Amino acid sequence: MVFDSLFFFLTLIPVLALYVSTRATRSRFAKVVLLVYSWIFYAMWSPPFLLLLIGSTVLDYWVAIGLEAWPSHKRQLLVLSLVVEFGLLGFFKYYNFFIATTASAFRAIGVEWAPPLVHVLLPIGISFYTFHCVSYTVDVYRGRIRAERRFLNVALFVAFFPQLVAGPILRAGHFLPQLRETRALRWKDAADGLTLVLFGLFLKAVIADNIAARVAFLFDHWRANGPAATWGAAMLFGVQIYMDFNGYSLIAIGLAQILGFHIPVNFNAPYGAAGFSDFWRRWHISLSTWLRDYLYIPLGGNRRGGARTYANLAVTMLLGGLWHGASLMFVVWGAMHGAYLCAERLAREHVALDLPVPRWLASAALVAVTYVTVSITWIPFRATSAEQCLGMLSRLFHGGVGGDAALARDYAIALAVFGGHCLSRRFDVIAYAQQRAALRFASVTAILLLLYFYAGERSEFIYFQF
Amino acid sequence: MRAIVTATLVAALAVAGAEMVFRRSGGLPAVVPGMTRIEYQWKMRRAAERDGVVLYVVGDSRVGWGFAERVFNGEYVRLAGSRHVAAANAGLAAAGIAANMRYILELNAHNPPQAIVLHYSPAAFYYFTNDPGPPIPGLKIQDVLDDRLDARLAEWLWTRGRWQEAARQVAAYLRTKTVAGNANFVHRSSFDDGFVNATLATNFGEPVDPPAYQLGFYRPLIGALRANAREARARRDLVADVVRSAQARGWTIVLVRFPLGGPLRDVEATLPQDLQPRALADALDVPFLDYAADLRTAAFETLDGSHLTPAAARRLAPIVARDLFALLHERLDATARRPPFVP
Repeated sequence: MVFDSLFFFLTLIPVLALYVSTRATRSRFAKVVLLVYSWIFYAMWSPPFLLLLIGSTVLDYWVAIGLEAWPSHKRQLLVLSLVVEFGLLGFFKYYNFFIATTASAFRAIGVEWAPPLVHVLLPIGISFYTFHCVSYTVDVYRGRIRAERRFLNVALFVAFFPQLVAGPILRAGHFLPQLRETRALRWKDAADGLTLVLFGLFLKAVIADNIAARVAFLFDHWRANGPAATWGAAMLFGVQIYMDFNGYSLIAIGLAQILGFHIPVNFNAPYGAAGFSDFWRRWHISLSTWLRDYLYIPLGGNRRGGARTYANLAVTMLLGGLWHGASLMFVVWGAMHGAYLCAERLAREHVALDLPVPRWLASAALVAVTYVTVSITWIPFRATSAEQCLGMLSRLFHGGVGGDAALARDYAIALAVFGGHCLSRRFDVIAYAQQRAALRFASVTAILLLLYFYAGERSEFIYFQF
Repeated sequence: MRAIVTATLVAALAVAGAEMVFRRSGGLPAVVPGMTRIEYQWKMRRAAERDGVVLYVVGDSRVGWGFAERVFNGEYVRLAGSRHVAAANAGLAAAGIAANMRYILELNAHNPPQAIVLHYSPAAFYYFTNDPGPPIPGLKIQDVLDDRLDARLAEWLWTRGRWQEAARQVAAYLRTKTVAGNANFVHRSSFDDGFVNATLATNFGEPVDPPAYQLGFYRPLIGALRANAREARARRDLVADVVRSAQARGWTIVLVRFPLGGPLRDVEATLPQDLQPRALADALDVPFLDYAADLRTAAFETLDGSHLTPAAARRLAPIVARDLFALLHERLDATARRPPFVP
């Protein structure tokens, strides 16, 4: 099920009513209600793949218990869990990519051999719930959390519907304690949650969906574009994906808050970042911290010397790119971010810039450079072929400039978002609006009216494909 | 929470005000007069997942409103004694034949050859350009349910998602102080038998005369097709190319024409001979079943001279099933029992 849907909200209302009325007195029943709804939510997409989700949950529930029960077999149990979880992810998401790449490699050396492709659908959200499950078993293995004895809690942690199909990626250590305690529901949480849900719907349905067609047009007609239009395409897609994914994340966080749970923020004005490491502290925070804790640090992080640190950064970003999808374009996107991070680290360690300019100006220049270079990476992310990717990258700097009113509007939108994010470095707009009743009233009225009159044609959340 | 509740009430009042002004200025709801693209794609995908052979009945709203697939399937099962063959109503309002066929052929690219029953209407073959749209990735039951809710809401909330149209109309009303005459499809009915139709209404209080409305559309259209016969022939050749490529892949193609009202039939008969359905069938090299000239069915009742009534659609379907069974059963049965296609 998706969030920007009347059907979803119609089904949510009775579930919410049942949950709220039973949470205080029969908390276990309330959790069963949430779990059943979460599973139905998932099965609306493809019922057979619900079995896969339940299978993953059962496996990791028992593996976690086994990790505590048989300490001498900890390593084998962890390996079993990782092999199964990443094996399923690899099969469904990367098998055909691997086969196609292998066949291309053989063809390049003159051998016509291609193993059979398997026509399978990608289970929605598999990248997200696999990471949930892995973080749970790894944390139990490391002794950071205790294994959860109640299957209901583990199942709800994995399948909690607000974040099930597109995150934010939850950590067991953060979420399981919330499932164990029954905190009273508060009106303030409900109001704040509802505001976030409405704001998320606004970002998705009013902004992202309304610019989706323009982005598609610019990318589909990339051959006809000069530098101005190509930069416009990259920046406008940056707006679209941010609005789309942040919209989804805000709805997820808001729904969780209404239900009495806390999910950490996933975005923090990323286009106002000063530097690439700052960007990754602000963009898809739940993924970047997951990659840091479960990949970068286990690889050695920055503890094993300079060269190894750069290698670890590059590997982490490459795999982070590949996590987004089975395509060389995502690998290129990850590689570009890896290169940016390495370059930034290199500059910080070896270049001592003492420019005769005020500090705020240097900081503003860094923000602008970061925005521009991050915008370039959206080209491989959105491109559907290597030819398109290379062609668009080259058109960023070659060809006649040109431009029209539509392009001016694209730039205005992109720069408005950029300006808003820069402003957010010092000023939390949402918190400000939530604290002032008049502002909340005005913004909610405007959002409701825009959703009614101006919502764009519905399109799938971009991150559902990952 | 008080701020949110107040905001909701204020927004609801603003919407109610906008609705009232839109209606007073002559607004009407706008519903899709047939299957929506999401309904169509969902139905075609489910059909493509079936075992056996699917008979896709392709056409415009004359099929969408007038082909009772479930009645057809019941009769075909009775005749064949098996469920190897089933029909799917692939009628899309204002859709061109070539685009509709291409969608179905691409959808079945990895399936064994199926069958297409092309429905002849001059508008679908030579004029309409609506299409099923690009395949929607990850289409799921929730999208269909949402689409149904949207379609229903469109009948009640006339300004929802139509701010530009509403603003234009209200501005015109304020400028001229008169309500401009307007006719539109205002209500959609979905039937269990597998077809969908819609009700036409006007905003000037007079009852619509559906046959006159249809003749008002088709007379100039047929006139324009006569005047630009070269263009119509180019459209026909485009369909012929798609038909030939389907036949080359083993697909079975049949041309049919459903019954229609006498005046409209007379108007359509004024098209050049080579654009008439019989000549079209010869050009495409496919069998032709003309229920508009068949004594059993020619007098079947229509809603507006162009589309069959639901009762007539239910009566027609078993007749079509019997005729297609007699014509194609051996071929379709053999196709259905063929092993799956491995690309």
